[in-house]
Amino acid sequence: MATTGPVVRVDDLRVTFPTMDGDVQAVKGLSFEVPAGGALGIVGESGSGKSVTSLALMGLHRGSRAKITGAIEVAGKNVVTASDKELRRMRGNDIAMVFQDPMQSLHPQYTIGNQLVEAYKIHNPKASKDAALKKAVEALDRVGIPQPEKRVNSYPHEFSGGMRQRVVIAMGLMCDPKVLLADEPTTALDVTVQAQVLDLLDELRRDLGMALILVSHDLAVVAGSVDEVVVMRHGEAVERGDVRTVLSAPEHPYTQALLAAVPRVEVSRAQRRAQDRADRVAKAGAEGGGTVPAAFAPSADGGRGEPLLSVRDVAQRFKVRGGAWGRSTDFWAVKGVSFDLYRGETLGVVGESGSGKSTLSRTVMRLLEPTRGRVVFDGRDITHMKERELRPLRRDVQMVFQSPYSSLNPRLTVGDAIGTALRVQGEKDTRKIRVRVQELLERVGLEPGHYNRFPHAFSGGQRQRIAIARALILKPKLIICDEPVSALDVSTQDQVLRLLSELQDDFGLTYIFVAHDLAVVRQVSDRVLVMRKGEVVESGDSDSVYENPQSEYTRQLLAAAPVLDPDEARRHRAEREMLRAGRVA
Amino acid sequence: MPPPLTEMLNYILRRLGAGLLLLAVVTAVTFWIFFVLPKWAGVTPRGMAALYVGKAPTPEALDATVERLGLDQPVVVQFFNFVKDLIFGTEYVFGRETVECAAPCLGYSFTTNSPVLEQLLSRLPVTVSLALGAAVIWLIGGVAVGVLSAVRKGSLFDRLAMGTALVGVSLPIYFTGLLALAFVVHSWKLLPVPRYVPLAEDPGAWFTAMILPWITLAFLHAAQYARQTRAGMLEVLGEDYIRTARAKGLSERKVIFKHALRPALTPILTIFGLDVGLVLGGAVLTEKVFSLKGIGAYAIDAIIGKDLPVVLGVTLLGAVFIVICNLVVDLLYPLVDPRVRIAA
Repeated sequence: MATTGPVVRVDDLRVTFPTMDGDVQAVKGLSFEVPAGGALGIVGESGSGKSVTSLALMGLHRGSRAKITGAIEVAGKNVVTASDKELRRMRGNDIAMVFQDPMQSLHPQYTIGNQLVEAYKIHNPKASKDAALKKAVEALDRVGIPQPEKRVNSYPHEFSGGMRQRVVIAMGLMCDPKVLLADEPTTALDVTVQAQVLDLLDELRRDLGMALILVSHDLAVVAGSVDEVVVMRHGEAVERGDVRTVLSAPEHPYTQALLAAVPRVEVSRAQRRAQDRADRVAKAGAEGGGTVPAAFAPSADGGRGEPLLSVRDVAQRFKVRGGAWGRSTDFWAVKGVSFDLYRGETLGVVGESGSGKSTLSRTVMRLLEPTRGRVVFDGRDITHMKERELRPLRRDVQMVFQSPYSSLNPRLTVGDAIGTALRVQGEKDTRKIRVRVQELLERVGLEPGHYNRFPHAFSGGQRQRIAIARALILKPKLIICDEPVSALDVSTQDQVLRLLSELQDDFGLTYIFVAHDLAVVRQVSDRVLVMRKGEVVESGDSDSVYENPQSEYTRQLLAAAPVLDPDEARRHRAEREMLRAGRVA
Repeated sequence: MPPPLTEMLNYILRRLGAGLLLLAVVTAVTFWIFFVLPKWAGVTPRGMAALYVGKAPTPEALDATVERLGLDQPVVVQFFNFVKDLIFGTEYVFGRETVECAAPCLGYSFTTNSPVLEQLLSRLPVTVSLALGAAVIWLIGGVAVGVLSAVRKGSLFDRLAMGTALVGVSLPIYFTGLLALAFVVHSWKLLPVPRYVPLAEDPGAWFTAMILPWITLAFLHAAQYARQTRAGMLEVLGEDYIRTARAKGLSERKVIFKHALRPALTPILTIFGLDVGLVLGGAVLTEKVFSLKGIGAYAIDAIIGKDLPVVLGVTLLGAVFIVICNLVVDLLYPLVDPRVRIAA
């Protein structure tokens, strides 16, 4: 690559959206350059303007109301002033894009071959269909789709999420672009698949000499794959520089805070808890001697007493329709899981999609009736209890769900959403309910005045606080958190985790914490279950599982977890390559 | 990957089987409505016979009809005979005269003195001409307007088109139809008074006779299709895969017609099947307004003249059309949308 000058140059980019309440500046004077074959990471939380920037690079704001000023040059062409036709010639040819959600970004009604061939033929109209098809098979082979000659005739729904993302990448490669722009390419994927896709991008960049722009909310995702990084906040670049410098010695306070908030897989539960408590005491002290309740110690002596929850060999079967003539087949989502959970403890359940972790939590909550096994809660066998008998126990087990956007009824005020549970359990005094709810709102870091607001007025993190308040209102003994922070930004995630830990201290709560993020699980859990395909692969004290994993799968998961140190990330990548090579050989 | 041939065949056979089953159920329900329900309501066999035999019958004629139609038999026997006549046909004996009622025998109309099916078949070309012609117009017109409206959302065209569509779905045929007749035919004399001529006889005359009924009937449906297409297109245009298509460098025309239109049309196909089936069973108002002697007009005449066998026949025929059209849609669906599971 003897090209002189940068392949992408952005200078003082401003993107403005006119709205009813005046103009909103999504990007305010952003500048960066990417040399040919180089790699740039753009990192920022939601609302930072990173996606707006990536769409602007492709000229995809054309036809919307967005106003763009400044200069964007891609392969020597000015995207801002180019004609529509020039722009189309550039898209896919000079700069290709990989999007966030591979389940949605391929057309469901055309074969992937058709979509790949189309991408090639737009820019090579004279090419024969056979040549284009050959190119498509090559591209699929390049991104690691097995049996590309056969799979080229498949439809997107016949691929898994990770494979679809490979197809999208293959589509980007069809015309040998100079720049590949990947906007959150792994956010919707499992940890191990994420690692594979990132490895693939890195490999392609090296082999094909493409420049890579990797946009992500996660510093750790970017760390091992780029040379330079731009940290964005509220439409501005707060810090820009070599990835090693920025990650090891960040200058801007925002970058420092962001780095501090990233959960690290090497930080143990004890360390994190000690830190949280110290921060809390310091904060209370600074605010003038507010009392910090003594840490709740679950009978401190290690004599744990009776387990709060005891699960024995629980299995859950679903009938799957789809056999010939409507015959159904059995699908075992959970195959024989056992564990004990003691009061005041947190049990982490880690696994990728399809591991059965959510089904397990639903079964434990008795939203599902176990097909086999036994569930004992607080000394009572609830395995086959009828709904009517369960109702008094329902108040003792509450749940916090993943998506704070869809788990709150948009037509109920926050106060009603939280208070309903009290009403259902028989409380009639409306004023009492109101007082309780307002106390609780304050406890989870919201204002009592928020009582009459509707969920849409809150951010994702605030909504998750509301969901936590709703779970707490009945003073439950056990709270099951199903991916409670995976839809949140890094800094919000940190705040919610802190809140959960404080509440555990104050109320002696017991948690089951279900998540796919290894680092998050380690920091909150006393003990961990690692699940895969409905089975527990490994279980035990969280520090020993993380520091000395016994099963091959846990090792794979840990090797796939993104890390912040660029050099370590590269070491992990090399390790994964060895693992893969070993498997092939 | 295209599904293997055996799986495809399996799918087709299953859909066909389901269609036949549905027809059997429709037949049973129709029979129940026409023969069992009146009995429950206290109508005697002779009272029933009076409904079948036509105007002012003599008591002897009534008894003969009760006998002939087996109206005093138990319901099960009646149903058996009803189905037997449907499948194998039957013969009616009137004194010395014998009238044959061929295979799907829907009964005998005493008003017209002929088997019902014969009458229906003679009127079918009119209804089919009307239905298919109108369907082509409303599908093409409605979808075209819908697509344009979606692409130019908020423009003057969009607002005008959607306004017209709202008027279109709100106005009944006997209003728009009569208005069209009054102006186009009588005031401006742009077209002759519509009089149906078979297509084979004189295509030109057939076309000039049908054009006004087509447009009138199509207007009503096109309005609905335009609104549906617009809504569907707007939804699809917001999908991620449309952004992917644009990011490839596709022209806007290709994005709209190749990538956006197909998913937007998929649900339209379902309602199109239903609507065509419905109109084939008789577009009552349109046929009446334009004095077309189709199945719908026949049904109305039969209802007014209390010609029960005809009403029964039209009901069954209408059901058959709807079942067939739905079957066709079901069979087309996997071709249009590969995600429809052939195996399930």
